[in-house]
This record gives sequence, structure tokens and C-alpha cells, in this order.
Amino acid sequence: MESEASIAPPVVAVVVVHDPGVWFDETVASMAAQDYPNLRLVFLITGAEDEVVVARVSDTISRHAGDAFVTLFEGNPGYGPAANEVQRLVEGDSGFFLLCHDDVALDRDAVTRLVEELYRSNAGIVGPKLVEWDRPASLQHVGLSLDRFGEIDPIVEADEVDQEQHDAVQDVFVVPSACLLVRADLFRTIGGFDAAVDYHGDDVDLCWRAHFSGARVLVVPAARVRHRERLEERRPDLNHRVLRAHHRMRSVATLTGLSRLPLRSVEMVALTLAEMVVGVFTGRFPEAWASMRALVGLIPRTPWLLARRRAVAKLRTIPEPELLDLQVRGSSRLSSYLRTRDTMTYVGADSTVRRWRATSTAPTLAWLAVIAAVVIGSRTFISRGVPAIGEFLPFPESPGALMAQFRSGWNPDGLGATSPNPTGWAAISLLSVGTLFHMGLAHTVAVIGLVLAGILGAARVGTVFPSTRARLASFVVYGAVPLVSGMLAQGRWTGLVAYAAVPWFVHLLRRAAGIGTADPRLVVLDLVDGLARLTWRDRVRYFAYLGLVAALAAAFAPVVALLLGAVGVVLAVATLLAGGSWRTSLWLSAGTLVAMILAVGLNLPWSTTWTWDTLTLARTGGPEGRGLVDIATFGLSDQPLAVLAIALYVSLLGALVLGRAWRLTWAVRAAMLVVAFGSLAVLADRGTLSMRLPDVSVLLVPVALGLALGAAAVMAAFDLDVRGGGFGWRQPAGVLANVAVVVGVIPGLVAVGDGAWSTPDRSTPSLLGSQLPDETTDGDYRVLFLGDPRLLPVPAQELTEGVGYAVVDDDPLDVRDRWVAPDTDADNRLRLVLDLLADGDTLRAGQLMAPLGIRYIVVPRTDDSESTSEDPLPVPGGLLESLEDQLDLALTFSPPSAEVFENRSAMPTGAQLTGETAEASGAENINGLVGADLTQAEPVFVGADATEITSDDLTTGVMHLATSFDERWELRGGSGPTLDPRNGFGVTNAWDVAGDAVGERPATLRYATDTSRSVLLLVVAGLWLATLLATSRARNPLRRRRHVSEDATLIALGSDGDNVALDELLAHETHGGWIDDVLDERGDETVDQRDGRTF
Amino acid sequence: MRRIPALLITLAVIVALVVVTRTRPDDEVPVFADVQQSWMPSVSQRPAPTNWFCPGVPAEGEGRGGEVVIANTTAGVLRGRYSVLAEDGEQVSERIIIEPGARLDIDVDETADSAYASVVVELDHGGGIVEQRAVDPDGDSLAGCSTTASAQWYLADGFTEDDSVNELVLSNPYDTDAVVNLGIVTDEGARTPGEYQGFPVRARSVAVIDVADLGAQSEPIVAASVTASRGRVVLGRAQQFAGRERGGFTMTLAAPAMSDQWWFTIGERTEGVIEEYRLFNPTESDLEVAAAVLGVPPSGAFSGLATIDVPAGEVTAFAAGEVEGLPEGQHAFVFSTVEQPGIIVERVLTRTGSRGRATSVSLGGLARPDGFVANNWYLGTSPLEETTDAITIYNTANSEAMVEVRTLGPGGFAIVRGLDRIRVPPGGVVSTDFIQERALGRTLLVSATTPVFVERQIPRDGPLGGTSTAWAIPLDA
Repeated sequence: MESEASIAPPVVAVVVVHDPGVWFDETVASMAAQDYPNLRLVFLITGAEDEVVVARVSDTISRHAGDAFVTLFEGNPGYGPAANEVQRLVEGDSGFFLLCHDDVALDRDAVTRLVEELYRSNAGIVGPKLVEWDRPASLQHVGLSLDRFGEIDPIVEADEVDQEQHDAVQDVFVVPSACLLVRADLFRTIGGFDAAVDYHGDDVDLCWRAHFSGARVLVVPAARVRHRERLEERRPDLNHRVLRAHHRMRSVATLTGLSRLPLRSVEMVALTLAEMVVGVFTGRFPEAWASMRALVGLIPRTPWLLARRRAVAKLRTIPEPELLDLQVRGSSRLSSYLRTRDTMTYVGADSTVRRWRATSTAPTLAWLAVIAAVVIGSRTFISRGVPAIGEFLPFPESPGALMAQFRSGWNPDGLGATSPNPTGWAAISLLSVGTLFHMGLAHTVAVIGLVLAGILGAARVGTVFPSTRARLASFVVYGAVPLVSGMLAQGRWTGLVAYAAVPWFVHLLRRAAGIGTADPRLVVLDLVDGLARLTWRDRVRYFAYLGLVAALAAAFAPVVALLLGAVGVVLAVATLLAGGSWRTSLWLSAGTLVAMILAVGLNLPWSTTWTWDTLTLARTGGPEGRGLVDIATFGLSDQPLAVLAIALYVSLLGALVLGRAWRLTWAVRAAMLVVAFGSLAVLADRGTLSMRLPDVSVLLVPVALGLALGAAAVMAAFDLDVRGGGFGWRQPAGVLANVAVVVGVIPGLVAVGDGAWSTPDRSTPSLLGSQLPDETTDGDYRVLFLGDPRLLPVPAQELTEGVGYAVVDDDPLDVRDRWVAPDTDADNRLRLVLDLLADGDTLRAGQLMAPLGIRYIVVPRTDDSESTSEDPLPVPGGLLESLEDQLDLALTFSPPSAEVFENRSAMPTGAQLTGETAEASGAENINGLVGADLTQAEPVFVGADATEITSDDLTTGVMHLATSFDERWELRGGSGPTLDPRNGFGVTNAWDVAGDAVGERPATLRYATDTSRSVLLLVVAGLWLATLLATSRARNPLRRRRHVSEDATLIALGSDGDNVALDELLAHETHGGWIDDVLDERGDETVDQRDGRTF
Repeated sequence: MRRIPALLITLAVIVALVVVTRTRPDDEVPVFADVQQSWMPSVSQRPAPTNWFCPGVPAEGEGRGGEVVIANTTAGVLRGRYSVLAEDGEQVSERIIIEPGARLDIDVDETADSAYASVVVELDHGGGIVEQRAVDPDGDSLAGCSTTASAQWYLADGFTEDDSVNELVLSNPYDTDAVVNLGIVTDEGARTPGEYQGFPVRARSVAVIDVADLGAQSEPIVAASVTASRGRVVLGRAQQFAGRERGGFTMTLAAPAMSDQWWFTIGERTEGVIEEYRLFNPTESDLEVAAAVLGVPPSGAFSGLATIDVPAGEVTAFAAGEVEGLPEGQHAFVFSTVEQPGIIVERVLTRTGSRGRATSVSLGGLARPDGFVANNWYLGTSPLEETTDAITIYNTANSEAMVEVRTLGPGGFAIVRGLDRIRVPPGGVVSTDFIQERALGRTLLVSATTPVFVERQIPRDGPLGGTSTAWAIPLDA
């Protein structure tokens, strides 16, 4: 009878050892303890120059496996190249190589199981189930999948508990090189590991080539191996990220079939670019950057890659499509990302676990429904563009010009001012990149996108609830409240910005405070919040995110930053009220504070111009008169069935009554948002508060989010606290609260039908566009809007309570007009004139406004939104009478929606003054202006812009520019000299043009932006970049380098990552032994022990 | 237990909001400018620009013409501009400078060739006085100029019997065309002539409408109303009386608004004087108007009070002689109603003298809407010759008023001896003759120690003689 050893096929276990730790004892012991009868052990020890290490390792080996062979290498060639030595050290093909790292511990029967399965399945390579070294109950790998871009898709999730869910033998594309059994002949045929692939990706390359030859690659879960897998700790001197990317790219470039290679190359480039963009926002930028470096690095290596391709082409025995079928379709990285979304981290009282989420198609369906509803409801917006109603003023045609204006130091709004320009201009300009500079599309995206962003934000807030229904309720309710349709109907862009920003802010704030998703299995505990421990780095990252959200919102609507601050404070207070910890409350407050600081800092220098008056709306004269019900139901516009939204308050109360533990905490937070901001909105509506406040739509956004969170909380409470309990009052109350949520979303569904959110057919800007002349023969002019602030098409400056004014130029209104330039002397002059007008102290207001270029005065009556012909807002008392009193203001034939007065004394914005008019421009103040002759003014420099140089012919006299005085406006005469500027009419720009300044060439006018502004903008751009980096998971590369340079012993471990020529290494082989015939002889007698040492 | 505080707060706030919002707050219309209710033309002391819109004077025809007088009552130079508007549009627009205490006469008919021409005077601050004198072969007529244009104008009197001419002079001082609707009221009721609905008055021009063309020929009573549907205008009325009841020429300013009180200081029950009042009720409600005789204490059968019913949309004529027991001599009248917005009252005073019958028509005087009655009244134009009862003063106070008349010269106002201590008893009416040379042809200031109303009479040139009555111009406090 043959011995068991002689029946079993020979297996040579090759362990590559490099300065192992204490665990190595277990590794060797496990090897020695294998029950496989025909196993030989070979230890390839690298770093032989370190005699101490060699002695230690040798000692360990000799203690546990005295019959093992040991071979020494100087330097560290890497695992693959070292393991390849088995081909030289072992002769024969009818056996197997078990290739192992030095940080694995095999179960006693592991080799046996692997060999059995390899035979049974006729495989080429088999690998065991790898589990965590310290936590054998957690799976590490059960083989690996690979996509066509060489990206590994780990079949198991991080920390996935081994519940035998993967215990079936299965074909995989890759088995990790930590421990694999390979047929010796196959290993030799495919040339072993690719010597150029070290540390990372060697197994991918090996298995890919094995597949070429038609060999199967299997995972055998019955064989279990513990694996430490801490290469990055052991080799901190290597850039593992770059190595991974480099080898991945190399494998794809050399192993992809020729017919697929061009397309794959294009896909790789596109994927890498997309990865770069996404990486910025997902904290994976370093990986993306490594991919980019690797991709670019392929180019100079093309000759070598081609040679390699020729070499491996000989191995191909199966067609490429068959191989592709073995790979994962699409992107593993994307699949991995999506899969991580199917799991969730739950926070308990003293534990954090990650579990599979309840799978359901409901969220997908709900999202599809929400997106469809928004798209269908906005179909007219999408097909025809967003109408220019309310704040929905169109974007300017040229993003480049907008960016140039942003960089300019001159703000042309109103009467113009040297002032930092709004960050929103730059943001819009950058946004247009996404729409390929199509500004109309960007405008549509900016409006509809804000709605979707808000709903998405609500969905993210909803992730704090572990219940699918609760998460659904959070974003469905937030999307369905009538506030959305009301804001779209009336063009309230500021409100939409708040709508988009608030849920994201709340979501990030709770993450920054460490409030995680509470473990739903802890129903019995009164867990106030699921508090996760955050590292400082995570905390900083969330703070940076908060700042970004606040800063971005403030870039478009600074008042939203204030709102976010208020929301943060309310949440902090509500947390204490709900019995939460003071520490959580403090973190909420701290996050809010940091966000506010960043909102201001990232909007520098523009934020220096923010004042309460510029952030808030001009007051209305008395109450707006919507009433409690309209406010409570977000009744900004006449939306059918909006009253049903009242039901959402029932669900909120239901959450307060029914909720327990963290459901109650969130119900309290939701209630406080509703109570605080709802009260403010009601009091503002009644005119009780005399101060200027944000628009009611802005105040109602936290109310909407509060109701959404309330609905989510009541759903969660119903699932966890009511359902399944004994019958009592809680059951019917819970059902009622659930029904209330359903009823509350009905108005949102109804609003979709219109297709244009009931926006008016015509807007004030379009009416004025047809009413006011656009020819330039009379020069540039300005338009003064005067009346109820709610009806002005641009933000109003408050003149008196209920009366506002705004000045715009003669260009069509666009989004730039939404931001008001800071006050200047010219603004003060205009206010003085309006005061005189109001007091009846002038009868020639037109004459007094003429130096400011105001040719038209428009008093809006209706806008078909706030004020309709059926229910018009009253024109401020005495306004029309005062204007009609003026002898030089002529009431023109106006549309019914507005009264338009023409200033018969108007002067062009840019004017050449002569005669008495030129003399009059020297006046220091308003006195005497009424009697001045202003008729001798001819238009010049038509279309002058601060971002470019304009030229025109001038004659002797005075050049008048109706903008607030600023010496940075430079007029260069035709003969060359720059003329000295002076005050015109006391407040504007004027230059005395003497005869010698008039040359043959045209004069030029330009605005010289201060260079310090450019520097400041660069600094702020750096701040944005720094904040973006802070949101990413990128580590400071300088810190790594510094660490390496300080720790010399780490560097001394290896050869700086380059491959070491094996021939050279073998020249230093101390063992020098051969086991050539081990496999053929199937015995241990032939082992050569030339050096006399016993192993 | 931790749900209790939040639940209580939430419920409390909800309840509080429900309670607070049970009452709807009063709607408030925002106010841009506090538009003053209409008052009679007055002199402002504010350093703010003021406009004066004169109702118009004849500007063509033999013996016809007119002038506008601008007086500077301040101690500083008064700058401004005047424009002459005619039927063909603006004729002239010139800047003016008036030295302190000086006066500027603008000869209107020299600059315009039109049936009527009106003058707009813009002054760069208060303290100016502007009034006009229309000249007609049948006599002069003095009238104040309005300080506001209006979209509404009313005339209670009108007379087209016996070929008397009654013309409406519409001036549009603005740069925008105005569109007006005309309505008239005769004994036969109210009418709105179709061709004068949407009647355009071109910018910076004058339009003249003969009331006879409105279908109101040979009417003893023709009240008129003008409503501008677009823009604002100034309405004057020229009347040339040719009948046996009335005689002479008058040019007066219409009333821009109704009022619940109208004051008249010149009233006289004497042989040869016919004192009649026309009460026009443009509203849609019947009114009861109280006519109180002032300056004459009630005694015996004389109660000093009469009640007049003025039906909606009609004109009621009221003769002073109808007041039972009204004694001979001077008196004043006040007409008042408790109904808002009130009525329009004009006085028709016809004196028959040696040279014939001369009729003067005057709109009543007003207290300012806040009840203010001036102590100081200006006369831009005083009689050029010695005049009996040149000014008539009614003392509205319950205490005696001491009145003095001062004349304006380059050095300011100077006392006119003989006119410096005029006593007016409480509620009394006193007329004063101007016989002092320093009071003739000058700009005068009548100052009283109590609130008073001051009317004046200026002798007319022309064949009919008589006087033209006009209000002095109160100084706005």
C-alpha cells in the first residue's frame, strides 16, 4: 500500500518573508501544521543583509518547521519576483505551488481543501477564503472580481461578517496572491508573476494570464486562511496609491485584446477624467490623481508595453469575448460605490455596526416619481426657458463677460460703484461650463436644479432614519410642499437657494456633530441620538462641507447664510430641549459658527459689502395680509388644494406624541424648526416686526424641512414604536398621522399639472423691454423703478416703509441686476431728489435726476403674481401725484401693469456737455440745478463698460459720465494725455476737455481696476481650493514625506520600490541549495543541504 | 418625559398664533408723499420750489390782454422761470431773477397771440406771490393763481343768458398731453357732451371751450366739472356778461376740490347790490348746507342761519336777501355741510353803479384742511387808486384782532400809516379804505393778531366801473 504522502500530489509551499513581526510564528506554525501529507516548505527571505532579522526569522522557521528550505535575498524585490524563484528552485511540472505571503495563517486543512478542489474542478489556480487576522469572523476576501479597467471589485464588503454566505466554490477572476495554489506547469507556462508588477496587482496580472491559457481560477471557501494584509503599514515608504494605479493601467494596457484596446483606451481616459471631477467632491481625489499619473505614465512606456503585449499574446488560447465575460461589466468602482450605499452604519449606545439596509425598490420608484413630477411640472421651463419673473432674471449671454465683470473692480449695478462684485457672478460663469456655456440652459438648470438639489438634500437628511418609509417621507414631503410651486410661480430664486441649501446644511451639521443613524434594533433603549465617534479629520471635513454649502448659498443669496445660521442655532437649542447632550448641542453650534465664518470668508471681498439692509428685503407698508392659513400652507400663490398641506402639521404633532428615543429627538428638532420660523413668518406677514426681514419664502423653507422631518419621524415612530405593540390609542393615532402625511403631499401632486407652475404669461422685464427704447441714438440711459418693493423687478432700496426704488441701466434686465451695489454719493443724491419729490419740494425732479442718466421712471402696478389686475396692490400714496406734479416728467402711454414717466430733461449716461450745460456740471450740489440748462448734452461713449476700453470722438467742453465719482475711470484725450477727473454735478464723473486734449484720434474711456483686487481674488480662490481639499479625504503629502524622512529605518527596509534584478540578488544567495527534483521525486530525500545547515 | 416640554411649546405657539391671527391687521397703504388736501393758493415759506399756475388771460383782441405779477416777499433773490402757454403751445419760457422786495410784471398778451394764454411760474423757493390780472374792454378781473394742477376742477357758477359768453380755459402745463372729460349742469340737469369726453389738451398748451358749444346756451345756471383721465390741468373761466342781470368781465380760477366749508368776507345788503351764491353738489348724494351770516350778531327775527338743500348733481342758487331779517350793511358768509367731500360754492356779486352793472364772481375761501386760518395775507396787487373798502377782513377768533397793513419795498415790509391799527372785533367784519399813497399799486401784507380771512376789491377800468373781488393770498404757516 502506498503511503498517503506518495498518493498526494506534491505541493511546494513558497513563503516570501520580509522582516515579519511576531505574527510570523503563527504563519510558520500553521504551515508546519498542515495535514496535507506531501507538502514541502520553502521560505524565501528577503533583506538578507540584515543579519539580525535573518537570524530571527531563521530561528522561527527552525522552531516550527525544521525541515523547511530557506533561501535568502538581499534587498526586497517584491513578492511576485521573489515568488517566481520557485520556478528555478523547483524542477518538474506535475505538482503545485502554494504561494504565500508571510502574514497568513492557514487552517490546518487548508492545503488539503485547496488541492482537493483544484483536482475536482480541474482548475489552474485556486485560492482560500481569506479572513481577518485578528477577527476571523470577518471576511477579508473570497476571491476578487475585476472589471475591464483592471479595477478590483472586492466581492465582500468591509467588515462583512462570515456567516457562510460565501461558502460556495465559485469561479472568480482573481484570487489574492496572499495565498494561492497554482498548478506548477501553468505557473511555468505563463511565466509566473510579472516581474515588473510589485506589491500591488501581481495577482491580477497572474490570474488574467491564467485565464488567457484557459485555466479556471476558483475560490475555495472551505479552505480558510487568516491574513493580516497590512502592507501599507509595513512599507510606508512606498506610494501604494500610485503603485496600484500604475500596475492596474499596465495590466489593462498589456492584457486587453488588440481589438478592444482603442475603445478601452478612450474609456480609460474618460473614466479617469470623470474620476478626477467626482474625486474632488467624494474625497477620492488622490486616487483619481494617481490614476491620471499612471495613465499619463503609460505614454513613454509604449515600446515596452508593446513588447510585453507580444510576449503574452502567445499565451492566448481562448477568444477575447470569452475572457470579457469573466470580467465585471461597467465600472467596479461605481459598483462598489453603489454597493456601499446598500449598507449602512448604524450607531448604538456604545457600538457602531454596518449592516445591509433593507432592500426595496420603493426609494428608486419614489425618486423616479419625484424627478418625473419636477420635470413634468417644469416642462414649459425646460422647453421655452425659465420666464423672467420675479428673481428669475435671465443669465447674461456671455459667461466670459460675466467673469470679466466679476474680476473688475467696478460694480455697474444701480448708479455704479467701485465695489467687490458678487461671488455669484463667478459661480454662474463657472456653472455655464457644465452647460457648455449655454447660459439659457444654465439658467434653467440653476432654477430646476435647485429644486432637485433641495429634495436630494432632504433625502440625505432622511438617511438619519433607518426606515425606508421614513426616508421616503423626508424627501417626498419636502418636494411636495406647496412652497416649491409657490416659489417657482413667483420667481423667488432666493427662496429656492434656501430650499436647496437648508436640508444639506442640516444633514452635514448633524454629521459634523456626530449624529448618525441610530441602530433600529435598539428599540427598547431611549437612545436620544445615535452618536458616532468622529475623528478630528472627519470633523474638519464636515465643517468644511458646511462652510462650502453656506458659502455657495451666500454667493447667490447672502441672506441664506443667515438663515442657515439661524437653523443651526434652532437645532442646537432643540437638541437640548429634546434631552440631547450639551456636547452635541455645542458641536451643532460650533458647526454653524464655522459655516458662517467660511460663508463670509469664501465670499470675500464681496462679503465686506453685506449689510442687514442689503441682505433683507425692503419693508412693505404694513401687513402683507396672507394670514395664518396661507402661511401655514405655504400659500405664496393661489395653488389649488394647498390647504391640505395643513395635514402635515398633524403628522408633526403625531411624531411628537408617538415617537420615542431618537425618533422623538428628531421630532422635537422638526417641531422647533416649524415653530421658530413659522412664528417669524406669521409675525412678519402681520407687520408686527418693524425690522427688515428676509422674504417669507426664505423663512418658510425651514418650516418645510421641519414638516418633512416630522413626517419622517412619524413614519419611523410608527414602524418602531407603534406597529406590533398592544392595541391602544397609539395605533389609531399612528394611522392618522400616516394618513396625514399622504394627504399633505396632495397639493404637490396637483401643482405639477400646469407645466409652468402657474407663472404669469408676461413679466415686468419683458413688458418694459417692449416699452422702453433700445436704440442708441439718444445715448445710454437708466431707468428708475419706484413703488411697492414687492413689485420691483430687481431688489429694492428702501426709501420709506413700503416704498422702494431701484435703478437699472438700459440693457435688458439680467441676473446681475439682482445684486445691489453699495451706496455712493450718487445714491445719496438720488435719495435726496426722491425726498424732495416726496416732500413736494421740487417740480423739476427730472432735471435733478438728469445728471444721473435717469430717463425713465417706472411705477409698477401689477405683476400678475403678487399683484394682479383683480387684486392689485395699492400704489404708494402720493407717488403718482408727486410724479405727475413734476413739470419735466411726462407720463407716457404705459402698459396697464405700470405707469411710465419719461424724463424730458434727461441727459445720456455718457454725454459731451457744452455751453451752459458744461458750466452747470461744475455745480457742487443740487442748488441751482433746477434752473440750469441741461439741453446741451450729446451722447458719447455709448455702451461704455468697465471691462473694456471704449473710444469716441470728443470736442471741447466737458465729458460727463453719469456714474458715481471714481478716479479709477480714466479718460484719455485724442492727443494722448490722461485727463484729470473731477466731480460732475457734485456726484458724477466729469472731465474738462480743453482744446489741446482733442486730437485726431478718438478719446478712450476705461476703468482701471486696482491690482490689489486681483491679488485678493487669487487669495480667495486659494481659500476655496483649501476648503475643497479639506472636504476631501486627501492627506497632506508633505506630511507623509516628512514622516519618511524622519524615520530612516523604514527606508532602509527595501530598495525604494524598484525591482531588483533577480540575477543580482541570487548572486548573494546564502543558501544556494536546490530542490530541483522535489516534485518529481515526491520525497524529501533529494533535498540538497550543501551548506551543512539543517533546516 | 422629555417629550413634554417640546409638545407644550409647540402647542402653545400654535395656539398663540391662532389667537393672534384671529383679527386681521388693518391694511395699510404705504405712503410716498403726504399729498395735501386742496387749499386755496397760498404763499409758502419753505425753501422749496413752488409752482404757480395762472388760469389764463385774454391774449388777443382789441382792448384785451393781461399780465401776471410776481412779487418777491423774501429777503433774498428769487430765481425761477416763467412760461407762457397758448393754444398753439408754449410761446416763451424764460428764466427770471427777482430782487428782494421787487416785483415783476409779465405782459402776457405781448408774448402770445391766442384767445387766451396762461402763465406757469416756477420759483426755486417759497416766498413768491403770483397773481394775474385779465384785461377786457368790459373791465379788469383780478384772480389768484393756483399752486397745484389737478385732475378735477369744478365751477359752480356759469351764465350764458342774453348772449353772455362763458368760456372754459384749460391749461396743461405738463410735458404730457392731458385727456379730460367735461360735464355741465344746468337747470335741466347734468350733461356730459359726447365731443368733450376724452377731450385732449396738448402738452404745454391752452384749450378754450365755449360753454355754449356744450349745448348750454341761454342758461341762467351752468355749472361745470372737468375730470382728467390722463394728466392734470388747470381750469379757469372767463365770463363776459351781456345781460340785464349781470355785467362786465370776470376771469377766475376754478375749484380743484370740493370742501365742506366755504368762506366769504365780502357781503353787503345795500341798495344796488345783488349778492347771490351758487352751490354746486357734484356728488351723488343730496346735501343739506348751512349758510351762516357772520359779522352781524343775531337779533330779533334774524337768526343768522339758513338751510339750503342741494340735490345731487345740481346747482342751487341762494340769494343773501333770502336770509330772514338780514340787516343792512356788511356781513360775511360761511357755507358748510357735514357731508364729505362737500360742495362747491361761488359768490356772484353784482353792483349797479352810475356807469352800469358790474358783476364779480368769486370762489369761497378755505381754511386749511387741518383747520388752520392764516394771520398773514398778501396782496400781490393793490389798487392803483384810492379805493373804498379795498380790503375786507373777517376775524374768526373770539378775541379782537389788531390788523396792520405793510407795504413791500426793497428794504422789506414797511408800515403804512393809517393802516397799522385796524381793529376787528371778535367774529366781526371790517372793511378798510385805501387812501394812503404808500398802499397803492404795491405789494402789501395784511397781518392780524388772530386768524382772519381777507378779501379785496380792486376798481375796474373800463366803461362799467365797479370793482373786481379777489382773495388775498394767505401765508402758509
